[in-house]
Amino acid sequence: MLDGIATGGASGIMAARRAVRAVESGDADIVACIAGDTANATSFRDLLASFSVFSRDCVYPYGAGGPNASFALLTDHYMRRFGATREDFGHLAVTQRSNARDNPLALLREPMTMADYLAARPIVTPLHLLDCVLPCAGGDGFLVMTRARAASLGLASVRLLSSIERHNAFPDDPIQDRGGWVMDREALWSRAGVAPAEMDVVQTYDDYPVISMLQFEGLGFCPQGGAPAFLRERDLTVSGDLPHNTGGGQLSCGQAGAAGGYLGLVEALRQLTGQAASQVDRVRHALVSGFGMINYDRGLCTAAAVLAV
Amino acid sequence: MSRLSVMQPMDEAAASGRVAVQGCVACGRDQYPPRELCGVCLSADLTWKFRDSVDGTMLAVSALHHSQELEFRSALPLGIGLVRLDFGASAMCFVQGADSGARVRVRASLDAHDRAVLTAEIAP
Repeated sequence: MLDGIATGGASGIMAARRAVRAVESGDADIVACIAGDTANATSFRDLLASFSVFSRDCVYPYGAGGPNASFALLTDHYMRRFGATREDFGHLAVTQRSNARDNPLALLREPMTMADYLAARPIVTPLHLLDCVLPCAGGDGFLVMTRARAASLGLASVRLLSSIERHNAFPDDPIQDRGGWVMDREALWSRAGVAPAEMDVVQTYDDYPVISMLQFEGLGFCPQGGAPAFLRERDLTVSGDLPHNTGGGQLSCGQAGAAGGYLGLVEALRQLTGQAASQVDRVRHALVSGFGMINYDRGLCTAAAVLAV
Repeated sequence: MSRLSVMQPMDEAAASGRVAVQGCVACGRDQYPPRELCGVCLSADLTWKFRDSVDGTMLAVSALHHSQELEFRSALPLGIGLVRLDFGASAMCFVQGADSGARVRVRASLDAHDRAVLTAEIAP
């Protein structure tokens, strides 16, 4: 059987969920979950002009291509409502770049300081160049099967302890400052039998830094609006107390279409199986989170998964 | 991809400086952006109301510093914003002199491609 999952930044986790069900029910022995995209000047131009139907009709005529302006507006709102600063977003971007240093698959590996981040040229304020994910060509993938089969094939494997997905959460919020994770986090953690503080690595969906903050809040690491203060006190590098986007995230690796929605899951698999370019010590549990398909002014879906060795 | 045909009433209304607001006959909700179905109850029974302007509150503002379209480059940086319209939808608009939290009046006009565009100004 062949299936397609058009949920962008949430598609990696959603693919894993469907694949697990197919294997559990006996419909499939092995499921290959893959995503990828090409990139060239023409396809990029078309992507900017027609990111979605609403975007083409009601965003692009304002001069704004792709999702930058929509994310700029919700970043502006987040900064005003919760007091976040550019340095708070820079903390995420700078540490992710540091994590990308030894990742040969990251497109952006050169060192980046907070001064570099702050000096980047404005794109759509408050977003500047180093807040914006870089479209690229590439692909990502993983296999889903029973653990016994993986062992018989000599493949390293991990366990999916728990996962959630949600579509069209909070449609009446005037502007997006929370996502569907809020509605499902209790189920995620109770089924997994572990707590946020027990995560050895966290992989958020980082098309723009503010979205990573919504995930830390939505998944229960801190209250709504609390991510800037929470993250300020933490070392997010691979050797820190909260290793985050340990392969550099999309802000360093780029976004190859829906493969951007697989990046965090694949990096979590690498960390849990000891195959990461920048390996964190003693990884037992990983959290992966996804955010998909910004349609006009907000993302349409959310997902998260807790994985264990 | 061509502009969605449900945008046509907005474009035509904008030609005479009016705002066309799409509403649902079945549940009574107005919506923006226009679409083929009601976003709340999924009814296809939609209608149009014509207004000189619609009022709202500015939720967020931004300055556009980059555009891939040449026609915008001489106007950069360009003020844009998200307005919460009083009828219960959020709309991206050009913004003239209104900051976040301001009460604004939104009007429609045609751009160089005969597309309706919205502009928000401080409400009188």
